[in-house]
Amino acid sequence: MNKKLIEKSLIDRRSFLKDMGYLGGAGLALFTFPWLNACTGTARKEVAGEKAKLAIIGTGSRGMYHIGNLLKMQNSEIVALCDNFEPHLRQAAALVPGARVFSDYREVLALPEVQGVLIATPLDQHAHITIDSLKAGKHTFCEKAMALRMEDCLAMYNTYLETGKVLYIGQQRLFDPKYIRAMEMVHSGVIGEITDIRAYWFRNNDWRRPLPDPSLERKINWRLYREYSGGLMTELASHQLQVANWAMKMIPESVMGMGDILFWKDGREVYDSVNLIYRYSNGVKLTYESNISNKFNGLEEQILGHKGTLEPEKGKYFLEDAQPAPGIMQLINQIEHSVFDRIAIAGPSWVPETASLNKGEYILPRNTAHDGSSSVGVAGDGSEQLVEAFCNSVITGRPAENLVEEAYYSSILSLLGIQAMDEKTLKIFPEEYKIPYSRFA
Amino acid sequence: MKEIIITTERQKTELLILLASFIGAIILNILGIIIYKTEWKELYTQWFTLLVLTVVLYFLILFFRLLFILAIRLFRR
Repeated sequence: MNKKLIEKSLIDRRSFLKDMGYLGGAGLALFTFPWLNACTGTARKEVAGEKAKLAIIGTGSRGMYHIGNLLKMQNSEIVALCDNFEPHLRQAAALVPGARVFSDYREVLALPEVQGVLIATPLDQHAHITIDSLKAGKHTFCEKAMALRMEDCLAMYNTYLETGKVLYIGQQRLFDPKYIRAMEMVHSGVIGEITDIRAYWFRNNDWRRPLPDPSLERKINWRLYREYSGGLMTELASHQLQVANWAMKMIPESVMGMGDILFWKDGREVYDSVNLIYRYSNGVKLTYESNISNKFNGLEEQILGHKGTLEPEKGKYFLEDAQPAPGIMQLINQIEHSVFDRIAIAGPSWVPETASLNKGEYILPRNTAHDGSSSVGVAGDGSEQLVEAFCNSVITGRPAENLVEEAYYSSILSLLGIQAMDEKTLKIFPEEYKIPYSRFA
Repeated sequence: MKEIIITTERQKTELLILLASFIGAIILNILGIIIYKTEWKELYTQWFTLLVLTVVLYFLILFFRLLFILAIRLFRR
């Protein structure tokens, strides 16, 4: 029964980007996840032959990652680069020799030929650059999290509404095929009623970048300082909070947690170890953990239902009542046990225990997974699709429906988590930061 | 080097034993499906396991045949 439900709930196994516009079954996915309308086959046809003229503001590691993706796309042209750190600007200019270079983003926003702006600066600069960009009439892509302060997230959202320009936030899992399918499975009941979510991100590195000069510590390693960054919560957890809300179709009503600088005592100001519990109104808890001094567990968002478990990062699902092993394998195991259990033979069983382990099934036939160690991005994580969709939106002027709201709530919740840890109290989701969003009824 | 001649009769015998091993594997597959109430499509989805089991059974039989031959020769001495 469950297997038929799985097959019925799945979109076609071919690449969803190529075929979404042509498959009847994709209609449900587009209705359920409307931001995907920006990257369907139909959308691609509409913008065929056109190029979104973009400026990249912030050409550090993440900016360079986006530039690499954009240069592979046919629907984009990078016309301007901007960074106030000259070595970063130089490295970007080497990749895009035809682009004009600037160190002041306001000069970029004044260029009439720039249609869209991609912002990959440190977090503390997201808000004012995004707001300025939208007010300057530019369609804007801002990396996640939205901003360093809740009031800035709300200001960005309000400016987006007021200006009517396209705004994208860098929540690439919304465009990752295995996440889309995973959510289809969740929402169609394959794993039953969600009873728990466990999300975690473990790494083992100090998160530092090489410094050409010690005086550049706060500029290059901005992620480690409160003035510029929310640390693990804004840089990592915001992705996973978005996934949890996506699965639950609601936002948590409260959060409590603890954070510490446990291992990397190198003068940083942000926690290197966080543990939080977010509670949804129906009692489901999202347990969040992140630690950057041990990489054993990698990263995952385990969505636990009463019929099964989804692990979208690994691209797998596990049914509680797993499909049994083939009869012949069970028979061989039985014979092996009945013969060898009575005989004292040293060493492990010679028959692989394929009859007893639930190894799960893959969500997609071709799977990409990463271990969480990359601070920049990995192939197949939805970033390419996200940026391509942005380019399509820049050309058409149509926003990606619901994307900003999803990103907004994940950003607010990550900042609320920081408050909970700092104040060592239970924090209730503030009413003043709730925005109308029908998916999170 | 001495030439090893595998007679037609020997080839026939080995092929018959291989066939018997394959039939034995199929029977085990059927038994497994019945005992553990799994799906009948395993008759063809488990073809690789059948191949492996055929080879295992063949060599198991060969092992006992060689043991038998060794025992006979020792006994005759």
